[in-house]
Amino acid sequence: MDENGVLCEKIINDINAVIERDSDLSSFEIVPTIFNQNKSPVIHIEHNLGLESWCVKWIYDYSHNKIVSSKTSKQQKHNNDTSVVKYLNVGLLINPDVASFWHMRRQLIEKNRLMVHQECQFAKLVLSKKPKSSEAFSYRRWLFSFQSSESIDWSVEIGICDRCADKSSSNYHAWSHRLWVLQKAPPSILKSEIFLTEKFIKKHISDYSCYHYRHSLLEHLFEQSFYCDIDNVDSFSSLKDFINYCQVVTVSTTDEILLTLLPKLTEALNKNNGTKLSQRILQQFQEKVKSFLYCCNLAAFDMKLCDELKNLYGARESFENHRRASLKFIVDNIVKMNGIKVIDQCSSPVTKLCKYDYTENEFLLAVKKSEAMLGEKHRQWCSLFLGFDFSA
Amino acid sequence: MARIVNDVDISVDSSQELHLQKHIDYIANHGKDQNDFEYCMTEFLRMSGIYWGVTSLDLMDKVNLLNKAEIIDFIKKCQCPVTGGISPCVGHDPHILYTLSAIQILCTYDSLDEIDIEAVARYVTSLQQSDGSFFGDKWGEVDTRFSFCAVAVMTLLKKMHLINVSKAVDFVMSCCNADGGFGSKPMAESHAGLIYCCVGFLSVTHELHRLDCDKLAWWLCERQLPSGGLNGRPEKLPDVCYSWWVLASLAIMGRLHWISSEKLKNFILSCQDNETGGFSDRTGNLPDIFHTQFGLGALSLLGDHTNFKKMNPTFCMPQYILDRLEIKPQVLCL
Repeated sequence: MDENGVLCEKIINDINAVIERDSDLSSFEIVPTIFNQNKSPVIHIEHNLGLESWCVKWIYDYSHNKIVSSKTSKQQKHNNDTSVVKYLNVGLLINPDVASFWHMRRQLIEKNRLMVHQECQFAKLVLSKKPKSSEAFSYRRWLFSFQSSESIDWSVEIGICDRCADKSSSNYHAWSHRLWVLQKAPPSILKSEIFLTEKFIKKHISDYSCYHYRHSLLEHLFEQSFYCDIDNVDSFSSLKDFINYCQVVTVSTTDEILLTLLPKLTEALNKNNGTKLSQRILQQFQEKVKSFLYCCNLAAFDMKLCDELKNLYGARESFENHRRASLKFIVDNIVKMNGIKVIDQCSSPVTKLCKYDYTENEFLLAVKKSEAMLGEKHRQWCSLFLGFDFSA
Repeated sequence: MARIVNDVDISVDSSQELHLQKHIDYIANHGKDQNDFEYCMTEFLRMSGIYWGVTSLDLMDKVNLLNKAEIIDFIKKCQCPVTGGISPCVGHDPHILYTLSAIQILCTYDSLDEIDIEAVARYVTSLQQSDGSFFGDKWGEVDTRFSFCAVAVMTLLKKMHLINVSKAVDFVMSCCNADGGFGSKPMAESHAGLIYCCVGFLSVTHELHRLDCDKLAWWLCERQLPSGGLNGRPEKLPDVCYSWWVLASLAIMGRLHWISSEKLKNFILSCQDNETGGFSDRTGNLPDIFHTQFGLGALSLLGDHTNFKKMNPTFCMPQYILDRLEIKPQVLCL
């Protein structure tokens, strides 16, 4: 091996020694360094791994060549599979985008040459260097297919998404991964997600990806008929405030809210005496209605939050878009829920948006009137996205 | 209240002249220095890099500056003998993204018969899932980009009958959001690049009636910033590649005139590197072949048919190639 090769091997071995020994290794970065100071370019300080930038090109070229030759070598197929891992580690830490390098790791997992837990750690390390790495997130999702849902610590996964989103604004892959977690994890994470996303928005006011995620979370909550803490008197305060802002007649009790938002459903439920409907269906409806109130309240809360952010920071696209999305959630679901026919066999709400004559619903008319005051562009949006007709 | 917007300042003295020859030289010389570190680092997408180079030179009628035989030979070496799929480079694994890029290059060179087409069709077909979505490769990532790649490949190869188009459409529509846009998977954030893939998909499959065009066009028009440039999502900075993704989507929907062309053209020209040629993502940054392709493509879509051949918005290839192949993706006219 030539002098260059010897030096590269030494550096690569140093990097791997840190990865192997430090089980709490939490970050990797390339440290911009102009001079070769004739000492090891590998820096290890308090669970952080650094590589001086001057050697990156040589180390990468060398690792890359070693990986390529191991693919073609017949010997690799026999025993020394894992000898390529030290080069894959370095290659991927420097260039996380090389899908084929990740694929070699997957093949080694399948052959039980690499352990799932350590690979999760490695992917996490890559994310510390490149928080937007779609390959690293994709690898984590693949690794989870080897574990049962109960054994996975979903809050750790959320934490990774949160940190990656924090480091890199509008991080599409981090938020998209978080959506994947939302679909896979048990309902126990939902309450903290409601809290964490509000916190993130207040810290990163123009990161639209978070607002979008929070909206998807809202849709998911309603789809799962989720609600919590609805028994105290202030449970639906945001929704009450929103209704009272739009309307002349004020509401204060939950029953009054229901009558205002869902007049047709309330009427239908009152007409049906309990003996006609099975208990199961009635209970499902009740759960859905509770979730409807909870979610609409959250949407109304977000509308108010957007108004507050606008007052604090000035008008921004994020605030405007999220307020509209939240408004649309309320309007669309009032329409859908009022379209429910309460009959014995059918227990699921009508999934298609009914052609709904807004003039029949006093509350929606009031909303339309209130939103009309927000300017011509907003009226155009309401007309296009909510079906509000302002021509009359 | 006036909105606060993330945007760039186009410097007053940035040139509004198109440096055509410089761009030709930039692309023709790209990749000549094999030792260039950036070149080595981007090996994992080489096939797409070649497609961007071939297409942009062809737009300027200079594709003869590249070595056709060498490129075709490279593509042949990149076809996986087992799966039929095509890799981005020798030594890398096959993937649907690079399979599309390779097919697009071969169509440009009218050389589809140089590789095993049946095997490519088998590869794409094997990636379709029961919900209509497509994996990118055998490792199982799903993304609407792959749906676009699949139908684009199969249409160029005239093998659409081998995939379940109706289920593929159902999956793409399941990625449609309340704001009218599309994301990479169901419920994912609307993103101009992914919108292009989904609108392109519906154009190829002649299902554009599934779109709520007015809502989507609203969202797309919101992408234009005061500088004239287009961003890909709310609150992001303008980027020249979105000039293509947004513009092509609007063109397919017959609403190209809904954004200000003059201001956009201004922005695109300001992204040129006056010394080396090529385009960067925004004014003042380093150019690369990816942004060069989309900057030039956008200028053609905006109507410059003096300097450029006409571009087909669905396939992101010069129109004459689609004409030669007798392929007519659906386009709406207002």
